[in-house]
Amino acid sequence: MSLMDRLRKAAGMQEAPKAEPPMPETEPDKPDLIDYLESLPEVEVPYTPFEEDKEIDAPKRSEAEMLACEIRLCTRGEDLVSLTQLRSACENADELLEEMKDLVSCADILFIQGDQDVYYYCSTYMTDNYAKIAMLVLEKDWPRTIAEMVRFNCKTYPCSTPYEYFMRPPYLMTKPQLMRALDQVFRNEAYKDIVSVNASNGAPYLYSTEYFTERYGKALANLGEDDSQ
Amino acid sequence: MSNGEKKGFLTKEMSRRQFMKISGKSLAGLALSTSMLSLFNTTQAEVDSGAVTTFALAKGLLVVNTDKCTGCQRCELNCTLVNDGKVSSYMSRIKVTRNLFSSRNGSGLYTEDRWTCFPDTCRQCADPACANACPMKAIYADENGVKLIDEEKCVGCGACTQACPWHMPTVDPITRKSKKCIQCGACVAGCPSGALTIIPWDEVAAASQAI
Amino acid sequence: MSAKNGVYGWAGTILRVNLTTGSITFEDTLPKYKHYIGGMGIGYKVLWDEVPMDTKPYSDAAKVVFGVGPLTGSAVPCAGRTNITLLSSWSRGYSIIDSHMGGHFAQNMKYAGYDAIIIEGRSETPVYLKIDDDKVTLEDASHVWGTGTFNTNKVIAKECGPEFDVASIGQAGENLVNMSSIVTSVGNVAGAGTGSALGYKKLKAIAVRGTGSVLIADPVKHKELCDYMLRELIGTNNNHNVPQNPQAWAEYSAPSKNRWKGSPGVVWGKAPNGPIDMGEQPVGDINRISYRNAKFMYDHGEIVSKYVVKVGGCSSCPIRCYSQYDCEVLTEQGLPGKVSNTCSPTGTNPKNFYAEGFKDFKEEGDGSLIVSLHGSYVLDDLGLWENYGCMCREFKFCYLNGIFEKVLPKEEYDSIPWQMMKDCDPRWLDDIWGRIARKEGEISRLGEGTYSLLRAWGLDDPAKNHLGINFYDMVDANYNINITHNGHPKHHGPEESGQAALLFNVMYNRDCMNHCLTNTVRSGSPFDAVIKPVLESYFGEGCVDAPKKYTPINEAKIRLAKWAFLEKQWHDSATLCNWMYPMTLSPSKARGYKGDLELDGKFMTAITGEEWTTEDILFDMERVSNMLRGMTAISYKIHENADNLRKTHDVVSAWVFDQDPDIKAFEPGTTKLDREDWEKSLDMFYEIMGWNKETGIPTRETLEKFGLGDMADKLEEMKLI
Repeated sequence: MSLMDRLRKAAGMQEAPKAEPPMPETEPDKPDLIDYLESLPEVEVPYTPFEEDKEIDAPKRSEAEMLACEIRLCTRGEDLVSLTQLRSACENADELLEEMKDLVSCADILFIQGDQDVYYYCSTYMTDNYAKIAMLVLEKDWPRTIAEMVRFNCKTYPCSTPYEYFMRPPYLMTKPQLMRALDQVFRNEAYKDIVSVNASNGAPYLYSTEYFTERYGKALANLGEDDSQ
Repeated sequence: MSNGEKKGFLTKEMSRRQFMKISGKSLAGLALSTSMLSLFNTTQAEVDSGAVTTFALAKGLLVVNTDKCTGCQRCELNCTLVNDGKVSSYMSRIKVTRNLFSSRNGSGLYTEDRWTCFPDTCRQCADPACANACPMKAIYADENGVKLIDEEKCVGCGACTQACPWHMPTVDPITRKSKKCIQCGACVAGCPSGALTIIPWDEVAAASQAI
Repeated sequence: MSAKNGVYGWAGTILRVNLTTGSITFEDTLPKYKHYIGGMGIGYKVLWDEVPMDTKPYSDAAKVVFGVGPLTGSAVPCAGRTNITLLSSWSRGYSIIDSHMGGHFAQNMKYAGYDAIIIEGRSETPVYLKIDDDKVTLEDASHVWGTGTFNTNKVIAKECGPEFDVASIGQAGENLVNMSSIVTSVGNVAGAGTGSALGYKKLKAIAVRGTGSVLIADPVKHKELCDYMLRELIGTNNNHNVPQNPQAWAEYSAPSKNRWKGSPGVVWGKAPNGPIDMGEQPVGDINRISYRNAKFMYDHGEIVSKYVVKVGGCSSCPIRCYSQYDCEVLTEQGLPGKVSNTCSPTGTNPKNFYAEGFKDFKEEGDGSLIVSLHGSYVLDDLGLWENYGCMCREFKFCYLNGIFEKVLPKEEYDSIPWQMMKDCDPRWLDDIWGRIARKEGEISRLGEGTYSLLRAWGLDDPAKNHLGINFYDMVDANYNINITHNGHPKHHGPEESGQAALLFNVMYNRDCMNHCLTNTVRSGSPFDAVIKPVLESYFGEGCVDAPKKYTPINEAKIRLAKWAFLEKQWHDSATLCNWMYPMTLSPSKARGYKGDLELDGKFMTAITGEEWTTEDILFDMERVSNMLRGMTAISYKIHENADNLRKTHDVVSAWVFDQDPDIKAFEPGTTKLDREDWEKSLDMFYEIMGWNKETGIPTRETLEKFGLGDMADKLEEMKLI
């Protein structure tokens, strides 16, 4: 089993979710591509044979570099890799991560500290802002996620955040999850700056009173609903 | 597989030799392994329906996925810009426009089968009808074995166009020289929807060995 | 063909077709039109030289000019637009306007060898124009006359051959309905009355095939520039430069609405062999660009993705802003299911024709979607144009406010199957739009256009209607789209970009179709970190305001407004898609999200082999802008007896200043503007354009600077300067 597979298994992850249609019932006699190709009579190849045609081998890397490669692969699939996952996938994970710090070839491997774990990612494929979102999604502290992102969006863009934002990828909260989390947000003193406002068409939005007045929060909610074409 | 025997193609040459057997034909009716599907960035359903066609090029396997072709014609524009220094769709060595509006096979924007369009190109036949038909013997193979047209010899008679079962070689109406695919890869590099991809032969070999 | 002419960039030839005499002639594009660039520029020069401004839009003397430019078909991305110049049959002043269509027509026209096609005269019988390179003929069209554009395009494409593209008019155009269009591909439409302009001339369609090419002076450099644009500069539809859903590679995303909606989990749900996931689309990856735009999600929301087969669009453009549907809910009702469109024709317009709301078909909330998909088909088949959301709002307002009961004869009112509308029957649109396209009854005045309609039904004068309103001026966010009293709407106006957008919105004789500013301010990028610093680096401090935090006018905003105004003329002359250009921003963090406004000059240089800067381009476009203004002044003198554009043409609807009554202009939370500030804005804009401040008409000095002395003479003769 490859390190990648072990990582995935440790994380309890399935294959990266891909929009696959339900497999049609495979006809039992459908030949495998490779068997089929081999069964066909030889044909003349118009091309000049390759000068060097060695058997295909994987490049040689140190164990730490191999681990960095696996982190990169996860990041390309939009996933963070937690320290817990790394430890359970390879015994000397801490040692390899320490080693990685000094390797120029692994300078792209960064981490973000969460409440529950430390998460590694490759900065070539993942930005710090996204790593934060991915960390919030992994830790599933939805009230904190809502509060932090609403504040971030007010401060950064600025914009009021539609409820619907948290139901889109990568959050993918269900409506009941969202409503429960909002209920907790509104009752938590630490999140008292997070308030709800409806745009003129009724679409619900959130903003932080640390950044917006009520009028401005509503005005930007309306802007979010302007679907001028 | 289960007995530990290495399955698949061990080398680039073996991969190319095998795929040459079905170059230009769709993969319909064949089962692909997960790693092959992943390498081709396709699904078994797309393969089953005939949407996926492969062409064995000298350097890699050209995979054409009809379901992903959106008819933007950038393959044709890049082909002619790179190879002719002028931009045209008629002269392109990869053909999508002929399948875009009201194609001979009944698909295209102005037919009932509106959303089907696809790029098509030279099969690099081992026994090329175009070269056989050329009265000037102007079609030859380069050091890689790719068929090229010697413009010095070409008189623009169009015999190659007529002889090719897919009418791929195209005579430039201005220069009166025939043009055909030389496997430069410009169409693939510029395809904005990934309907065209070229997979190097070593990657094909590696994926053929995986389960 | 261009190669025959040895001209780089341009095709080199203009085709002139006289339908009265049947004469077909060819003339050189250069040198007469070189500094009009192409498309719109050529159209303006032809109309100015050849069509006196008192010509009736429906007359043998009127001309219609199809134009493309040196960038069309050159492999420059997003260069697949056809510009059509004509006299307006419907907006106040009946002056010069342009219409534009995408699809594949422009590229075919260029490869056939033409920078422009000038249509003159009038045929006695229905004909279509067949262009097969330099073999140009007029063919009988009686077999398709009276039929819709889908049938016409299909029949003509089949009889001409596989590589022919077609553009045609529908029944609306044939019946001289002002609100009519030309339709090509599936849903690629040039509106603004082009259909009836050709309908009068009995020209049903144009079919074109081109085996030629566009010569490129420096192909290596040109390829580099195209790839540079695709790797570093291009975003997605409206050139929005950040994805809406967070993607791993992206530093920013757009929490509220923008148009980069492709993302992992967003699918083409009806792809023939199972859903295709649009995945991530990192900056720099050319092979993923077409998955950035999921316009179907912007137009209809998540509910629609199950009907999406693919996305489509124009020649050369990697941003596929059309969604191609296959909707069985429609086919099960015996209606065409393979439909495609984008924006207003598939959204705002059909929806508002269901004035009492929607009912579900197969699932909760699919009512507006299903009627919209059908609506886009019916509208295009009839070749009807919706004036960018005006016609539907007029309908809805009249329905909800009892206007129809007052203005329609009782017999006609009772004959209209209102129940179909209430039942959310898709065929309601066939009925109601069919009446308009056939000019059937008083209700078909909706097809005359806003200006004529409001006058006929007394809605432009509070004394003439029972509601006591002026429809142009009243404050009501549901209907506030008319930006002036001239019969056309805003097209991304002061609600997004304050005074700068308002300035260019009032300059034209139709909706401005100018996206230069909305593309930036609505990109979804952070204002303080990206939008403001990037725009200020081009136009100076204070050129742009934070959303709904407007400030008074200043010099930088005026520079921005002028640039956006001239850019639009460039796009329609080049021809480039104004939904995509200019490359103001970039999705690249490494570039600091800054685009490249010099790119246009670099393209022109590589293609033509002559040194062009963006400044050179904009100088030529200032010429075209002054022609627009001069011709508008002449039209207003002829039709309105007006000596002054400032007090007539440029008067803004009151709602712009009167909306949000509880908030003052320039307080946070509103987009309302201030009347005094607007007058100052006009002063400053006229000044930077070199126009008379009292009248808003170009001065002789300005016109002569651009070689338009003859226009100055004409204006002087008419006592306008």
